[in-house]
Amino acid sequence: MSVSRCITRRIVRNAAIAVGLNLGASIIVELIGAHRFSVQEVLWHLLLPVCLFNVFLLAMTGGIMAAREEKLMQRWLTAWKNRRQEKEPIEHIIYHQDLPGCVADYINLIVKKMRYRGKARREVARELTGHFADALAEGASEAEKQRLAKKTIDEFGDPALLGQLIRRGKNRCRPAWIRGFQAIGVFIILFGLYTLWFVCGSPTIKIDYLAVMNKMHSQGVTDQNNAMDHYEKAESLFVEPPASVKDLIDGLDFQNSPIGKIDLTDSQWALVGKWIEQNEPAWQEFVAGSKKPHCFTELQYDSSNKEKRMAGVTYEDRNDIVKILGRHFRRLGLWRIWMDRRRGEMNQALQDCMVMIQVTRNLHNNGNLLEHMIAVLIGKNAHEEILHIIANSRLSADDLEKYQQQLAWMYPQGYLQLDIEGQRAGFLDMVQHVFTEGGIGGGHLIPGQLKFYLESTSEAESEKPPYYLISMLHSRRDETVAKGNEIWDQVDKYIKMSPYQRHIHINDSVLVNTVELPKYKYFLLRHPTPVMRGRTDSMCEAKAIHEATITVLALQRWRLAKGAYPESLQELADGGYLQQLPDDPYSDGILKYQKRGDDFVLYSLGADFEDDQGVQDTDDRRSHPWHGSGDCVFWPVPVR
Amino acid sequence: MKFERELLKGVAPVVVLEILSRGAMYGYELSEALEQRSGNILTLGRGTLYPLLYNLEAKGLIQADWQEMENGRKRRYYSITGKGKGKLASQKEQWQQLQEGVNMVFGWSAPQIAHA
Repeated sequence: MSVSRCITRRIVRNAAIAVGLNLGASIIVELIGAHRFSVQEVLWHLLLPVCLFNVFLLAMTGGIMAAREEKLMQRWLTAWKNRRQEKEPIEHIIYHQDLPGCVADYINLIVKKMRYRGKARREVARELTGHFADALAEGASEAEKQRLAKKTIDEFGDPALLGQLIRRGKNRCRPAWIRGFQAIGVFIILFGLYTLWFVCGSPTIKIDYLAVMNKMHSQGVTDQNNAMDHYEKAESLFVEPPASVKDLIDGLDFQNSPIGKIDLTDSQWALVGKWIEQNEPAWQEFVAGSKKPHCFTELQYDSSNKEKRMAGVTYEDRNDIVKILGRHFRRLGLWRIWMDRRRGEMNQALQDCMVMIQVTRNLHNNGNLLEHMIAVLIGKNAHEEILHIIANSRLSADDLEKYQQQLAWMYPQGYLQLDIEGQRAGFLDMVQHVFTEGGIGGGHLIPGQLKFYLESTSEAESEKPPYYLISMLHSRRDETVAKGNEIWDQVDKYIKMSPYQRHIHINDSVLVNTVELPKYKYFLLRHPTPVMRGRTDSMCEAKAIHEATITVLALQRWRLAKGAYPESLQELADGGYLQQLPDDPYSDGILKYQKRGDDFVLYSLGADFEDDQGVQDTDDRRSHPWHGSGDCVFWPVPVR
Repeated sequence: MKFERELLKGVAPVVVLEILSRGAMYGYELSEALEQRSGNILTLGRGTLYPLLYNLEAKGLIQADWQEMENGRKRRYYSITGKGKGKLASQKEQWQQLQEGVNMVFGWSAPQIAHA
């Protein structure tokens, strides 16, 4: 038993005795009849200090008595001596044993060849010196001792081999805790080296995806057919509305076609009219641009984007133009149309609508999702205005046919589709910037490079996982690219489907899969993959309203020619008034048509995929005309 | 007589355990005892002895303690453990069977015929 433990036992034992004695004494006192004080007071004020003092006295007495015992003191001295000896230098152990020099050198060599920790080498040195001392003790003379020393050395053999064998044996004698620490140490060293290798990797940029995208989108683009110059000039000529009408113009929510009456006073209309006149030059540039098939600006890396990352391209110039078209000129166009209607100039209003629809064509040809969405919005507003104009004016058959033909030929290669190649290129560009190239799995994720892309995400700082953890756990480059391409292929297939097809076939499973990917293994694939459902639905709905508008024009022509509306849309097609029946994105057929007396109703089933017989949820019309609980009705249009 | 290294390799641990089973010894004492008790037939190389002892210690078959002598020098005494005793017993049984089998092959003893 160690000395300290023995002393501790003595102290605890004596303390327990003291506490017991004092408690016993206090109980006796109470029983005898010291009733002048309460038990609590007696215990607290009188007995407790006495108890503590007695405890202290007896405990110290026990400790001192224990320490005085010779055996324990001797043990303490021995332990102290042993600790001193454990630190005795090995050379001192070997060379101070009165052994011949050759023996001492031999033992020293064995111990050196061991290459082991000091304590084990000291033990072996003591053991071998003891063995040689015992072996040489038989020699009577120095010569005899030398002979015995040589003989014993020969019997021991090669010192290097012996050192190795002894080391092996001592290695096996290591206590488990040393083995554990050594294993941990080795693991930490290896992990450190692995981390260093991991962190010090650098990407190899081989493909300039921005140049690839520029080349892709500039095919066929010339200075003569590029609308961008016109739009830039239009923006430079644009006059902001004066403060007196700015709030008025901005006050109406144009996001989803105003359904209320535009209730302005004459003076307000006059101010708006003046603002429209001031923007006539800008509008003419806008019109000129709308006639061009392309709207292209070569994207470039700015000076701060030294790594030439596509994600670092801010699209400032382009997005400014797009936002300006979507904000300034969309509003300008709508106010022009309303002004034209107020003045009874319906043909002028329809021409302005056509200009806006033409702009949507060249905003689609570039793979930028923002531009696609701006185009959808502009087109939607313009088509709705056309329907309002048709509903509230009497156009001639020739005018109806003219505008129907213009709309029918607006998209000769079919209605616009979302193009995700820009997003795919951005993903591949990100891969080549954040992964090394070569090695196991094609390369690993570099923590330092990942930081740039994570900082641009919308997640809160507290929710962003650590970069190094992601890098360690993320799948390798080849697997990431394969998975990414698989997802992008699925998205590409997805965006070509109508909402109804997605509803009955895959039920949004593509997007569900990307969200349910293992968080760290495919972390890069969870963020840049766009949420496409809303965007693809918008495209389908925009196509539907385009076809619905053409259909309404055809129906109006039929009525003028026949005196009444047809019984079905097929009659229109059969009669040559309609080249293509309008598809309903929310069913497996065409838009629903019902003749009702002197009028008709033309509608889509809407996002609930249920036929409500042309009844629309009017409360939802403003915010979600397609996603309310009823149908989405194109005709009759709401009264304005 | 110099024995084949591989032959001695198998027998060394068991004879060391046997000698230690009769009492604790230090390294030099053990090597002398081995020669003496085997009639100088078995000579364990000194270079083999200590690695063997450390291996046996690592396996838990023997244990070692430093003891201080009167002259102040220390010796490391080895003694057999309970596990070592069990191992020794099983090894001795195996050696006996092996010896009987070899003797029969060499014709040094008659085969034991099992009676039904």
